[in-house]
Amino acid sequence: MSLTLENVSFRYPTSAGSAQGLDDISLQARQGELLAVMGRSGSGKSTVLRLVAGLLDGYHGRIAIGGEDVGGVPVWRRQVGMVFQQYALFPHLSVAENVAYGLRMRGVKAAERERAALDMLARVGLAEFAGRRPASLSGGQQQRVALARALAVSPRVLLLDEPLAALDAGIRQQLRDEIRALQQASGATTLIVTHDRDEALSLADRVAVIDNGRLLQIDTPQRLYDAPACATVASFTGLSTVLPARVTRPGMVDVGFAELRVDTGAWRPGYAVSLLVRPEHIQCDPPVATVNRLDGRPGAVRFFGATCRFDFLPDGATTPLLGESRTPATLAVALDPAHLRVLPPAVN
Amino acid sequence: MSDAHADRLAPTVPPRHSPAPAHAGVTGHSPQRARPGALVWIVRIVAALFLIYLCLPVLLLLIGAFGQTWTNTVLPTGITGHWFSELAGDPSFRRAFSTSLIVALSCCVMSAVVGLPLAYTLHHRARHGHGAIVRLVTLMPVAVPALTLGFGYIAVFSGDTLPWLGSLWLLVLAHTVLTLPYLTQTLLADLRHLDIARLEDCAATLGASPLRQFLSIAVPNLTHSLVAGLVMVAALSIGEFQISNLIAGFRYRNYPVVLLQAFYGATGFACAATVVLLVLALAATGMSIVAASRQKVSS
Repeated sequence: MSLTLENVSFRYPTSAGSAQGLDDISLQARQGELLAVMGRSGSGKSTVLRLVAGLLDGYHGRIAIGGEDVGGVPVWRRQVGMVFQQYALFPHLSVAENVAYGLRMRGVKAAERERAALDMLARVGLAEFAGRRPASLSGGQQQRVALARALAVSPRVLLLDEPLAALDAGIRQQLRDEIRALQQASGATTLIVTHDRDEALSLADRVAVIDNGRLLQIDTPQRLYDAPACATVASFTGLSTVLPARVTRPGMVDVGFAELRVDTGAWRPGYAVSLLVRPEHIQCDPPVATVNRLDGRPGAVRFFGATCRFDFLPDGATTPLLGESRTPATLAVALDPAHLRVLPPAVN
Repeated sequence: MSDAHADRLAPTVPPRHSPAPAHAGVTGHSPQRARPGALVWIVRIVAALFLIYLCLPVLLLLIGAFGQTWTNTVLPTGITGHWFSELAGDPSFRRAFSTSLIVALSCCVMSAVVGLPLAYTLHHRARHGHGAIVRLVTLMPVAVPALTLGFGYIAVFSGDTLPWLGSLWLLVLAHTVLTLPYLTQTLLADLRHLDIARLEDCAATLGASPLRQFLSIAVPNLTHSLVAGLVMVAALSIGEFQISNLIAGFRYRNYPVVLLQAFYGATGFACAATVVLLVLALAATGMSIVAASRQKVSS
């Protein structure tokens, strides 16, 4: 089933504190697609999820699941599956009973739902824990049970609310792959909310970036990274250096300490812009005649095994460029014009 | 005396071989073996005195209950169990005992039937910004003395239009009103602690209607605190004197009200009658503790 949000706006009642509402959000997740909603905490991304689930009400606009408007449909009739950050397993039920809970609510007979629950538990690799209490499981196992419970009801839309945020880094990566595999096997249209860019970029077919209740950009992870719409999206999707710049003539920008060749696109001379430099596009100690070559001196170096991240301060610059390569730059760097991006000027 | 004096001075006057001032900060933070200071001993002594103060009357009651005669002596003379057999044979005490049990049990049923939905509703209201109502309801038993309530009952139910003063069900009702807040407070604490709201949100996404959320999520998770709360309700009801003394008639006097009259008679008999109440109270407290600790283990 597809999921559609059309011009959805939402405001929290004033008594409920300062939670971020939503401002005219439109997005669509196609059948079987995994769409990530990414944003920092308090950006309104969880609000999107709770509105789709029906846990929040009183929005303007239209939310449709499989083409059917779900406005006024209570949570328990929306046929969504939801996974919460803190697992939210029912402590008084066994693992198998947790997974079978949704089927029980749908009136499925005991024997049948037990078989279905065990089947789902086998798919998340926890069949032998069926009789245990949730509290005796590790965090990663609990979240897998929660995932099995949500998928057991064959939901029209699967909603994942920061499903990995409470887990350790190692388990997080493993479970991330499992979520992807399960999602593809079940073919459930999925909305995942996360503040973790690795999670969003590596899991999702497409990512919607939300900030201050507004949708900044929705696109494939690759395009979000390579062609962000603004500096905020650029910083959400990866490490980078954003330099304030001004277009001097078509194909050239002035960054204060140098004039650089870059595709200026529709930006005309005189415009203030931002120049985005991704760390891996900084070429170390290039030949003298290289385009956009900048002399300078090296700064801090952080070693990461396969690569290292380094600061490099071009002559005349006040803030260093962030680079990433096998060995850090020592005397000069070059910024490949093909990979530099001109973005709207930073707001602040 | 002089030793103690030196001890007290020791921390402020550094010994001659103390490190140079430059290291003073470091030595100040160095770990030292904690020795029980004077303050700790004062606390211990106060605690011990308080314990004696608490236990002495109970001990004297026990001694009195098994003592044969106790007049103008520090301790009674002779050992007997006949005060208890006399108590068991006393019709007014037997009647009061069964009245107390009936009232306590009815009170538990009433509290459970009213308290569980009440706490649940209050919890949901608190989530939607009605915290003041919740606080008011939970603080009522502290703020309003039972005496006030008792006079209110007399004013309302002693007239010809509502002549129900002295009836058993009015006594049950009064006990319920008094004990209900203690139950709701126990339940509210657990509703918050177990984050029932999140579990219910989750149940809702899985297809549970509000009624089924309540029955399949809230109720089973609150069983332990309900049991613990009800034991407390029973204990409070069994020991309740103030309001019962005001509104109980002659037919349905509960145990504490009858007990007071025992003290106009033989000391041994009065002690024995009190010991019975004490045993009931201790049993209820014990059950409450067991219920609470089981709950901790399970959560």
